[in-house]
Amino acid sequence: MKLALELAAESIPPGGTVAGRIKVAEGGDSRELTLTLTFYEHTRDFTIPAAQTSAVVHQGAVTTGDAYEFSFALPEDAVPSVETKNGKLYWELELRSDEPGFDTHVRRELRVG
Amino acid sequence: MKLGAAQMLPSSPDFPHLPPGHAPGAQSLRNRQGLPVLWWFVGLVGLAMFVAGVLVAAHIRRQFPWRDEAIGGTIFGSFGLLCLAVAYMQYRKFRPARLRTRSGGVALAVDRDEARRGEAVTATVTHGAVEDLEVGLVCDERFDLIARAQTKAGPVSVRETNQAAAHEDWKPVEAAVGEQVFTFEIPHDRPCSYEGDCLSYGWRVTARQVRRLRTDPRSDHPIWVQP
Repeated sequence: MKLALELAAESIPPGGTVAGRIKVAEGGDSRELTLTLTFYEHTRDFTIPAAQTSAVVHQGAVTTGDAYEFSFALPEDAVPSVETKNGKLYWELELRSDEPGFDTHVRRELRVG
Repeated sequence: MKLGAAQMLPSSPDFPHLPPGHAPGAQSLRNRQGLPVLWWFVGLVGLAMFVAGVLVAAHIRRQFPWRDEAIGGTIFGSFGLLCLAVAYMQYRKFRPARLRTRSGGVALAVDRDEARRGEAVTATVTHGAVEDLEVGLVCDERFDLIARAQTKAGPVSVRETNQAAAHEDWKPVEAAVGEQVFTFEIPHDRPCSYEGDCLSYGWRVTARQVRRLRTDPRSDHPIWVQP
């Protein structure tokens, strides 16, 4: 199975909406597609999810050429993405297809701020 | 674990980097500034070793040949001095030397405790003949790393928190006695204040006296920078 995440905008302000669509490049037997938006703290030795929200976008098998729209509202006080010499705060969208056997994952970093 | 606002709690003197009204994060709670008992203990042991070393080297009790006592006492005293130096440096990491604030000292006042990125913060410094004084806007990043060491029992990993400046803007204070006003702009592309688990950012306006080969005494005013 091959999935792609397309975003309506590369940079989203706090309080804005993360919108886009999932394109199915190669269909297959999936139980459900789950999209998770996570805010991470990252240093050289640690990557810790500090906040997270998720939603099921589609249930059942997916077919090549299908597309599924999604949108998430960012909180007004969402921490802006930033990278410094020793650390990074960032947001990431992760798409997971629950499948018999190994699941398919697609990740995409978001710029907030 | 959901997206949303952090809970506001009263601040505590254990977290001098936080202005009133802001709760410490998990990392700050782990590194709470208590009394650095360990380094007081190491310092006292070092002092005792140094004094004992000097007494032995001075050949007061004359129990062994003077040459042996001089060498042994010097070595013992040197290790004592080393312990004292390490204890002092570690203590200063917890408690930076403070600028003298009484008569003839330095007073630092900041116009606000909270600001947004892109806004300006005004600091007023009043001093009585203090030289090499600077005032600055600083963003400290505190980041956790794994420190690894090999011991007889096998490899040991310890989580430790390090600190570095993510932003610094220093301005010299004129040596003339009196009140001087400084304005600092918080850049848009710098981090906002954040209290996290393995990474935190804290902002402060600081007055410091620059001294060669010694820690700079300073006076801090923490501010909370919003997005």
